[in-house]
Amino acid sequence: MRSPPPPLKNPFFRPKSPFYGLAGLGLALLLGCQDTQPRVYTEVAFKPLAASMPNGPMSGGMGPMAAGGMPAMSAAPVDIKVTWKLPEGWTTKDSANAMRIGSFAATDPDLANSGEIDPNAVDVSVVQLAGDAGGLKANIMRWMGQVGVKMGPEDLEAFIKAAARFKTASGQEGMFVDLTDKLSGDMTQDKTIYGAIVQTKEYTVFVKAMGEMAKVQRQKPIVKAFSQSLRIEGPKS
Amino acid sequence: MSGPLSWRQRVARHPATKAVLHPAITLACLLVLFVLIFFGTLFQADHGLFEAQKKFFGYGWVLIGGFFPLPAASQVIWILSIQLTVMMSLHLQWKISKIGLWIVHAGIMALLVGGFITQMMAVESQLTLAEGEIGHFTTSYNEHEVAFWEAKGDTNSVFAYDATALKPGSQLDLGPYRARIQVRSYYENCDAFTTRATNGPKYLNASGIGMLEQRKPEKEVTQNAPGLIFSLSEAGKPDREVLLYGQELSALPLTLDGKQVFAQLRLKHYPLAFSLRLTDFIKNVHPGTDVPSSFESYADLLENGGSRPVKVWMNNPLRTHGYTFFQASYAQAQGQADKSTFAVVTNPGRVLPYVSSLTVFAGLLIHFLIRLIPFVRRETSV
Repeated sequence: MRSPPPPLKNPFFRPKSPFYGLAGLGLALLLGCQDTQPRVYTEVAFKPLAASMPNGPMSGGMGPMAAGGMPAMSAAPVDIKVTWKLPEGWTTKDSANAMRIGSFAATDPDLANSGEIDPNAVDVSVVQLAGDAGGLKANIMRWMGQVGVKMGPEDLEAFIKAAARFKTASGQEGMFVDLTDKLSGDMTQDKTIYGAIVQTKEYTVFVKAMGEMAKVQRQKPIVKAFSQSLRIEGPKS
Repeated sequence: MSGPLSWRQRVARHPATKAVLHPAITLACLLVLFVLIFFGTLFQADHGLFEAQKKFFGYGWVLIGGFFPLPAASQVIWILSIQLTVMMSLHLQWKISKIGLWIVHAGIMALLVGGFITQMMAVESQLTLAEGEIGHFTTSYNEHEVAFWEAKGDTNSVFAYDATALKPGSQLDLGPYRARIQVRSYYENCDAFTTRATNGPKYLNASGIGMLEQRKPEKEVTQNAPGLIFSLSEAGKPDREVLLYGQELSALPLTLDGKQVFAQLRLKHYPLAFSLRLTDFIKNVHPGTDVPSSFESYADLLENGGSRPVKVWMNNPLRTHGYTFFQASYAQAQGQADKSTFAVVTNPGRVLPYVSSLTVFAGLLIHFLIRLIPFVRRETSV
């Protein structure tokens, strides 16, 4: 006569039960689903190449330049080293623009003193390019196009002639480009540029401060001092 | 008279076990999977692949036809996995004559395990490079992160939270900086307005954005533009209100714990174990037509100061360091360098389907031979 089977014991609590393995796996999967854990990693910063420029001589008319396009230029790297003295209140920005060798947020002096970050800080860039970078006039017209200012060829000649000159800390001569008193024809522009250009046969270095008119006005003396603090070491002329 | 039952036998005879292993459940699961695949395919046409995957093949419930609820595919596959595991544990006999069946079931289990590993651990991302550019990391197609980083020379030390952690009200520590963020709002998709357009509170933002307005998520999730508003708390400083928008090109500079830190809401980055420089992209067309016949990317794989040339073209991915690079897309424009886009996949479970198929085949073959040999002997003796 067959004896009745002994009462069942819960197999899941046996010491060697596969339940523990499965439970462990399930727990690991559930823990793996936790998504509030931060990720910490190191990455090499991506440096996109500068956009290719159309070949051929730049057109002399206002059309394409007024639209803010880049003049024909060599974006090839130039073997110079540019350093500067960073003004108080400016913070270094991470820039996706590979042509920039320096990118800063120029915080409004009032906010800088309060230790707060200016959400509408003036954008200051330092760019170095080989050769004449498409020419002085072309680049000034490009800047004008970016803020909606238009100027005829004769006025532009006069503007360049009248522009204030300065010397960098390393002795190169440069000129300031002050568009803060230039208004677009329809008077609707909300941004302006104050900058400096240092040009030699081998290279051109641009300093450009762009932002709201009142803020750029306030940054003018600081941008001036910054431009004068440039120290450019590179190929001998 | 038989001896006492083993624990395997006792559990196998338990009504609960019999219920779990009931063939009707297996058949129902297979039927549900069939229905999910059918309706999921239809749903994908109108709502996009990602939404279809999430709704029909993730977790939760799906209302078929708007009223009939069915569990999503992942849950169904869990049920099938549990059935298979229990069945293997309790019913497959430990006999040499059954070795083929064990191998077959192990193969099926490998397929299911591979599926779960893929679901949990596989990462799909992309890398777009212009000719001459070097890529050091890939980016997700649609998953975002809020990243805080310090620039140290050419490298960034990144501390990031996935967007899934950005739930309104949640507080997240910024470990390295002795600071904390409290999420005010997170929008999967939104429009951004400049400060000029609003009179609301001022936020710290790198692009002058002052307001976000929620939008319905796009059909293709890659077109969503997320937005995040959070309060940044740091000991001894007043809280700062920060707004980040997923479409911003510029990162927001912040001072945290005395360090200059950048913040950005961006597609998730996945650092590569090496770098890849695209040297050339070639699109070939069929003679006399503009119809492309092939796309080829030539690149240098940069590692440990050296480089080696690699080629990726259609149906011929580059497999290296656990990554698979597929030729996915390209862009050509007059006057600009060609761009090539790679789909980059890391999947620790990618070999398991192959292992599974071979294992099941081997198991069936062994089982067939085990049954065939006695049959042949019997026939021969007759």
